[in-house]
Amino acid sequence: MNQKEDDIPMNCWREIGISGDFTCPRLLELVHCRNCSEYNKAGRQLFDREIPKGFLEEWTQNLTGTKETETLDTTSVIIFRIMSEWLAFRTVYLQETVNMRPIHYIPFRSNNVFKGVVNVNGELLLCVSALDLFESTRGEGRAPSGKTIYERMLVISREGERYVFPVDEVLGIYRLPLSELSDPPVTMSKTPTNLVMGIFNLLDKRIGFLDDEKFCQSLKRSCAH
Amino acid sequence: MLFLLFKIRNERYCLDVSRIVEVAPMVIFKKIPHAPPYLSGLFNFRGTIVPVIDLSALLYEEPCRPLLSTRIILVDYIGPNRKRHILGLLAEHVTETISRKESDFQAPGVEVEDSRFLGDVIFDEEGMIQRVEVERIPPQALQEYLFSAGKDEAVDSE
Repeated sequence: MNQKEDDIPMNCWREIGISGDFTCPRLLELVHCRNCSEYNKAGRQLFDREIPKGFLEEWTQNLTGTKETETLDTTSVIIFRIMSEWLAFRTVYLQETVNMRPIHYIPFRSNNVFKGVVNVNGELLLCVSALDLFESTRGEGRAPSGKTIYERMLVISREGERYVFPVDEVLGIYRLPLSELSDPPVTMSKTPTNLVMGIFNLLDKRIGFLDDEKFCQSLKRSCAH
Repeated sequence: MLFLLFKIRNERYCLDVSRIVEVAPMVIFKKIPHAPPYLSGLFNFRGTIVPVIDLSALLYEEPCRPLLSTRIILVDYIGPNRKRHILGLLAEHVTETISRKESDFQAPGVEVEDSRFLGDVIFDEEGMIQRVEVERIPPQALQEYLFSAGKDEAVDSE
């Protein structure tokens, strides 16, 4: 497999590769030409062109300006809604967003937070209700906003533990500058089990930034008994 | 550690990315009369005047070819007087990086005075890659007047 074919045609991917007749022996191992060094090399050769007219002048000018730097202290979050509450969770711990699927109730084990198990790609994962978790930790009821758009289930994974929880809507993944994070209201932060460690504004929404450690611990506790 | 790969003639070299400030495309240089041929000239890099050394001209007395893949590697250069400056290095095929461990490098065994900035060597399936030591790039003759007429912040003692 390792022999270096000397007679590799130019644009080999068009002849024997994925855009050709798939006869390249390397495909067996590499599956797709994008994994092949020949393909990479061909791509890089695009840069070996002569410099187009006006390019030098343009870049001489461009480089005189100061560079726009982004705020360095940012973190990536996935923003979702549960009832009328917008929440953010660090993307590093997000594994997958999946469509709603049936939750298999486990007799004698399921409780108001631990709902049962869910099949995600053939694996059975613990399903928790973040809504009930918040209700039980904060002890205040909220009216549903009534305009459910897209229900999804989020699969999160932190320190080897994985949980699935349904959400009412997923807004997407955003980069959050930590400087924009303000402390949660005092009444809220005084609660010992408070799971929100900060509040920020985005797209006219007030979003609670979840404390990933406390959140996962609460989930674990709910599943334990 | 991550290294930026580049070519001079058809030889491959690499540079520790932690020393790199930015990689910029070719620009029009302000020529310096009577300067040695390997000194491409000066350019305005975000408000700082940066001298650029053509590595191909320095090693092979033949300037880099004007292609899109020929780029200016802006490095953090610590001068003999322990002052920090930005120095531009012109090289060809500046299109790739490679990740290697410090322990993967081997001493080349020889050191030639005029190319003493070429350091340890690693190899991959395509051949050898030699590491470039930023501080050793400017030849002795150039070091004397490079950044000599400037007032720059001193390097923190590290």
